[in-house]
Amino acid sequence: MLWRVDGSSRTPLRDQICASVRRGLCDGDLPPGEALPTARELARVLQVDPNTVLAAYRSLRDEGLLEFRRGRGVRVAAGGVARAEVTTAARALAEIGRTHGYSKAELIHLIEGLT
Amino acid sequence: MSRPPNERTAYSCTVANRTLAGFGVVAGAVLVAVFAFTPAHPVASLVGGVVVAVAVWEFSTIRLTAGPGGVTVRYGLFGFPRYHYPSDQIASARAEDLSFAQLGGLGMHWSPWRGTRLTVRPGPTLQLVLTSGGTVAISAADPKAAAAVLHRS
Repeated sequence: MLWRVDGSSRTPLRDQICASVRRGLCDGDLPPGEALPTARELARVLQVDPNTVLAAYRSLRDEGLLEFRRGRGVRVAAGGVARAEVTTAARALAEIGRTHGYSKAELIHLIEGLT
Repeated sequence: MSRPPNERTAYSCTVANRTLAGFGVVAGAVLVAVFAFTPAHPVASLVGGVVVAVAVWEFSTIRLTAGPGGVTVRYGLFGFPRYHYPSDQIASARAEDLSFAQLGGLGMHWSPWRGTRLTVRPGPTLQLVLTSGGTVAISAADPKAAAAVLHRS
């Protein structure tokens, strides 16, 4: 899978790395159980700070997309693909809602009416 | 589509040869089974069987990461052995499709006429030419994508 970071973007590098993983999950490049590069390794080839990659991995783990396995590194969590698709769609909804002036409460109300 | 000037792109993949891994398990199991019928060398057979199974399993999976900082290759579950080629040591990179004969075998080996081979199967391969003149062939799921990120280094 491809990882993209833009040093001149306003989006923090950590979030850009997270976005690369989410895109990989949604595109099928990262099946469940797939191992990701180590933080140090990815940082070296992307020329970013290893702590930035580690922060991205931890954030994705907290979202339930990745899991840390002692001795086996960072891997895609079971169900991570589906979760990535849902969170990606939710982010898009939040962005569109914000663009059109919807409040958080209005978006939540909208989703409740659909589910 | 033009890319931002400060964008950096990296590529990562895992390539596994399940057939090779299965062969290793079977070969190891055969050696362990021999232990049951050769009381003269029980320990050697048991140890040999386990070593064969683990070694073949370990060398049946390769993980590649490539980007502006260079190329890193790791084998198996334990990520060892590990190789890193800094970008300033890489003169060029290209995608090739190499047969078993062209590879001269699988695994990790070097020869003066074929260079370094870090492979788990024939087929799509990332070929590096180093500034030293040496070459490195690495199994890759999408060697074109890997070569592309190196050309943009």
